[in-house]
Amino acid sequence: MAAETGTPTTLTLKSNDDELFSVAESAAILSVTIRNMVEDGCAGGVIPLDNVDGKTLASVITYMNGISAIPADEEKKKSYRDKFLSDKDFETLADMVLAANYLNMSCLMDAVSAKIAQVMEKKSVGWVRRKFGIENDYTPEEEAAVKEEHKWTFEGVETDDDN
Amino acid sequence: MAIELEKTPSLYLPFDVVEIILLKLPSVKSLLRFKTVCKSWNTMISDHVFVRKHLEKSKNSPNNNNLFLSTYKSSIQRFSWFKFEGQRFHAERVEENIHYIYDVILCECNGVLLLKEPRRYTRKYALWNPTTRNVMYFEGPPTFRRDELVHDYGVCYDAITDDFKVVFVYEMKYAIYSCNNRSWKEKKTRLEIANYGSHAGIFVDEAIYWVSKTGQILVVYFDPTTDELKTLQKPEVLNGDETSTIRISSLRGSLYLYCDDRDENTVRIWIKEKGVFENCWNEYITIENLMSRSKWWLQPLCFKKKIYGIVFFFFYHLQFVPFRNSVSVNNCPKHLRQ
Repeated sequence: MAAETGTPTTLTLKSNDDELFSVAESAAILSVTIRNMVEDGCAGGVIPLDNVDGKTLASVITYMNGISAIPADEEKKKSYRDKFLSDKDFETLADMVLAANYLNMSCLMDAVSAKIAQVMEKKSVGWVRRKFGIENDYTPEEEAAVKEEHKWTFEGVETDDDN
Repeated sequence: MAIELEKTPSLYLPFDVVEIILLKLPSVKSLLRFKTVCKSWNTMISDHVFVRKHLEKSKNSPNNNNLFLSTYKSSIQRFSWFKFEGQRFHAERVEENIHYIYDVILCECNGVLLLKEPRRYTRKYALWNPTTRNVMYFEGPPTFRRDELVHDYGVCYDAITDDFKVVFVYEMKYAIYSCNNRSWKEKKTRLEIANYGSHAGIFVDEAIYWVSKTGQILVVYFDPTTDELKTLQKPEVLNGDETSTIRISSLRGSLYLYCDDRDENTVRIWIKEKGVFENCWNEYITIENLMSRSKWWLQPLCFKKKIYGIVFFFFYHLQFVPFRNSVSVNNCPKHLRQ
């Protein structure tokens, strides 16, 4: 490890829109991607994170700092994660899941993907297509057939909230 | 109307990330609905490896191990979901998309129920998955006499062939129904098997387990990879003990064996080590001061870390009543107290 003095090492992270962030190494290494860079000695200067934008990175760093400040108590960590994600909209969650995947942060990945699943749970097929940017590749006949097979699963779906 | 900024759904989530998210969907209902999103989602959700992963996740979820089903013969509603939450039961309605004659639950495997019609010597059986609402009807082994007594029933999932197998155990023989082949296979066994307690085999740890008693009490299991019936050693201290009641149960994907010593008013519980079939029992917990001479079974049904490790239920006229250690005897309904 680089730090041999008592002062905590700080890393500089750069988002893909060229914003710079300082973060304590001890918090940043929650990301396996960053930890590998540190261990390989490539973290001397600025660490470029080409797949994460500044807004998302700021949020991830808030999470890194918040969660690493909590001692080893899984329940407290869980309630921090729940609170951290509670006010995030779908687009932000999607950006975060991509960032967590790229940064290889399993605890954030788990929490964000579970949150997205929870948000999706009662949504319509149309809502999911729009939010995930998915094109419907069924012919109308095929779609009707798949729908007919599981007709009952369309009961109790929430009204779309994104129109 | 205000002019909205054009929001482009430029978002592209890689397929492996989509899979991680879909595996976290709590209900099978939403998964089935999202088959309609596009062809690739349909393929993913229909894939049996995905199904298995989703099942494993929900089995291990702390919120999901206390969901079970029971019958109320006197009412129009035959089946209900029960959930133990906040130390109380919640019953939920089940959509009964199954022919009304099938109202006896024989056993369960991965959320699939084996049902029969109530007549004793029936040939009519059904497999029903209340979560996906899939139903399959079939008849008992064709070459066996109608009045031959089935001692034990079991259903298992064979991951290698992606097949559900139904097993009927008779005295000195057994029959296996493959759902993929839609046919029965009959086999002989040297094991003398007699019903002891429950007819229902427990599917856990890749096999079906029963307790049988002829001279001594045996734990018997069916291995779906070889289609063989075998015996499993009991915990050593129980060898030679023929007075205690031995039962098995599954909790959080492990087989539990519990021994109810009526004289001492205690229940001792062992857990089987997964994938191991010799010297496989680890003693887990002893529960003392249980109500004496109770006529009802005790059956551990769910696992609650914060209470005493395991929640016990009395099984009384097909109604489940919660019971946790001696402390909660006072919480039992009056008619259950002695």
